[in-house]
Amino acid sequence: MKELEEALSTFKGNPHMTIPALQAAQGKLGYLSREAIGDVAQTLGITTGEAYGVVTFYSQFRLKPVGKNIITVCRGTACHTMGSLGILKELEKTMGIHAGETDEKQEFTLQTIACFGACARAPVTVTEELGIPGRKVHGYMTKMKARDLVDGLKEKMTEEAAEAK
Amino acid sequence: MEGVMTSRSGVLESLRAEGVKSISPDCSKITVGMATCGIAQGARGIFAAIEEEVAASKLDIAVESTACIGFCQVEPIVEVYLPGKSRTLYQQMTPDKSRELVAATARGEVKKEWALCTVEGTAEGIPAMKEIPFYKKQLKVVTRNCGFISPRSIAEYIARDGYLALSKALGMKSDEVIDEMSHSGLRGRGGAGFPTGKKWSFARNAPGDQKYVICNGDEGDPGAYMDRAVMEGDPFAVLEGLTIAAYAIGSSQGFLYTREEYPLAREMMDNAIESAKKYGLLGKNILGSGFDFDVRITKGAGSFVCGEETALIASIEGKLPNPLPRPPYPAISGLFGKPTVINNVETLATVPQIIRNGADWFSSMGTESTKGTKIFSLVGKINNNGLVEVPMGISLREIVFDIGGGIPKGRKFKAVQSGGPSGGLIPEECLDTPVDYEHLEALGAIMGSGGMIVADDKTCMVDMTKFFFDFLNYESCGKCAPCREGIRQAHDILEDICSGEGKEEDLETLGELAHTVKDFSLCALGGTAPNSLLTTLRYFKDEYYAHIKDKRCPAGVCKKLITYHVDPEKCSGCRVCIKVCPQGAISGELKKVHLIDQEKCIKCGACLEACKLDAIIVE
Ligand SMILES: Cc1cc2nc3c(=O)[nH]c(=O)nc-3n(C[C@H](O)[C@H](O)[C@H](O)COP(=O)(O)O)c2cc1C
Ligand code: FES
Repeated sequence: MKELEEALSTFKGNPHMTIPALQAAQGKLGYLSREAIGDVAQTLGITTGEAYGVVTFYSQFRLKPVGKNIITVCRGTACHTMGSLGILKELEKTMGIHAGETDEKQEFTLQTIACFGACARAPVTVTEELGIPGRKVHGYMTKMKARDLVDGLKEKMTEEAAEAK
Repeated sequence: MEGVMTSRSGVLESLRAEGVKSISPDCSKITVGMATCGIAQGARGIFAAIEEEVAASKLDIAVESTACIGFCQVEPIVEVYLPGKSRTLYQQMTPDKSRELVAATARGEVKKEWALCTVEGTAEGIPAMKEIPFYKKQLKVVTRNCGFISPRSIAEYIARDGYLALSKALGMKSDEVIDEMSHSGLRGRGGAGFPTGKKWSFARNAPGDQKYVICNGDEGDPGAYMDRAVMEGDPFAVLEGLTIAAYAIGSSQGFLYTREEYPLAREMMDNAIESAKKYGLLGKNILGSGFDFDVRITKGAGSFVCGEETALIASIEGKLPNPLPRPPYPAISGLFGKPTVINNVETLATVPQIIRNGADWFSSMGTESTKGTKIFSLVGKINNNGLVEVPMGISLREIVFDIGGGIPKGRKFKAVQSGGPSGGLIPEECLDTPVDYEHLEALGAIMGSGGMIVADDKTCMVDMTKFFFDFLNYESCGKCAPCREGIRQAHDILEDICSGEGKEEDLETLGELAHTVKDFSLCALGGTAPNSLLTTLRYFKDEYYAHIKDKRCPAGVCKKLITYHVDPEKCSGCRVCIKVCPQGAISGELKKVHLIDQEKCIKCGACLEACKLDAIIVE
């Protein structure tokens, strides 16, 4: 793929760089397409099977495109004790998708993570926008805050769409 | 040799002077705690407000950022330094309060009503750090710089005696460095508690001209975040420790493995590496000693098992991170088959202090078997959330009640979970146990990396156990059958019990499964996985019986076993719950007691969260 050439150029012929190379490719595309994984394997000089093995092992790698907004619910121990399952269920209901899924319009992706390291703020949810560096950590989440979070993001998208016109 | 010494101290001396000035300048200084937890609580907005206010009024006040001082509960925290007077911490700050604080600072005054404590000097009506319950029993050794210096500034690190240890070590023989480590009694803080000096001497004596050192910053234990805090708050200490380790074993290349989830920690470590290189504290001919050492950062991609040393090594090599049977240990054959020392972040951050202050100083703290201090993340149902560093030998009760301030909302303590997914749940009757490796293991838990999650009477022990098995089921790499199949089966049984479909003989099956997984798994993931199950079966069997026999969840957590009701005594008829119920299951008129239709109720808990009067009862 043309758009990956530059991102992968530094890893050429270095089979030890599987993870960084996949991270670079995902950073560029937002996910790892079949083609992208093939490109990474070829650049590094490993088999596509080996690359797939690594991709499916780690939770960071995605095989499907993601939405414009990515909402990540922490399901670590501190967050679980403080009720993060309830937050996740509430978001699933509000957004109409399950954890690990993206909605049809590709506006939202909902996912979980093992721990953000902000456990004192449990339960924690993080939001980020695809392609925009930086993330927002929301601590002490409640179901109400979860609903407001989605509403706020929807509003923002509507505003941006209006502005674009 | 003398010439070398002079140029060595030359660099350090000028940086030290610079650092002393920036820590305690001639003008007043306001510092905002901007570690991950502070930022999550709005520290960025506070920093901006302070900068704006200082600029607008053209004040002679320095504005800086630091990392986490541990008391996460009262973030955002702001420190104000008034030269010649005091250095004071302020808690739960807001942008508005910060603006007022700027004005007070300009007048050379403290704001007593928002103050948490003083960390230097005195101020009337404000307690000293050592006097407030959260800090009184703590002993800051590894975290001594966290929240006290700018983590980006090598000068401030040096001003607080940073790099004296490396300087000293480079003047010692490598065997002497290792002897010092062995004498100190330091044991690895990553979980296994292996003596650090011994590990280094294995690698030092292993044949091979290329050797490696690795800093394990994977911190996969959910609920523990001390390694993040140390990397964010005192990155140079980690780097100095790694450099000393490299010198001791004769390695010229190091690796730092960090998690995808910790971008700020990585940024700080990156910056530390660059600064150290700039001043000749990393790279070729360090401090003119002829010793070369370089460090590369690698980024993990989200996997618990990757924190296990052999898996981590495979991951750096670009392979699938499946743990390998040991021996051979990495110290003999590790990264690319070469002798490799792999140490945890907290372990490495302790190293410079041991070299600087001596092994005897370190071993004077702690217990017979476990020397020094350990950082714990005290989180969950606890009043004072945060990172606490305590001398080994302190009791769990002192940590939970004296430092942690007990359980919020006057609820009852039920258990403290120590050691993460590999650890166990410890009940009230064991709270007087002194904390060290051996004592926690005797309880069936482990110290692990230092996660301590407190549970109250509203936390279900069966659900907690199921939660860990869920986690381990997902994270088990699947290579060996006892771990893969055993954890899955135990998980399924636990799920049945939580759904009210448990049978009495399940408890026996669970016990058998636990022992099979423990005894026959390939790596410590499986070897320790059953601890949560074994401890809950040992200490909280009644709760299992309540689920199985009475089809009841005493903590009110397991959805299939509970019902929601309105307490007619407390309900004021405000209709709030009616509005939030997604099912339309609640009915009632304004100012009359409401009613929940059990047929429609999906037990989502929305009413419980919304009711301000605690009028929703879970049974
Ligand atoms: C499943 C599993 C996960 C582990 N995760 C970590 C981790 O996240 N961080 C860490 O430092 N050690 C972790 N360890 C321990 C490492 O294998 C290793 O013992 C440690 O990094 C050695 O450093 P130390 O001697 O300084 O403790 C883990 C071990 C196992 C079995
Ligand atoms: S457990 Fe959720 S942030 Fe650590």
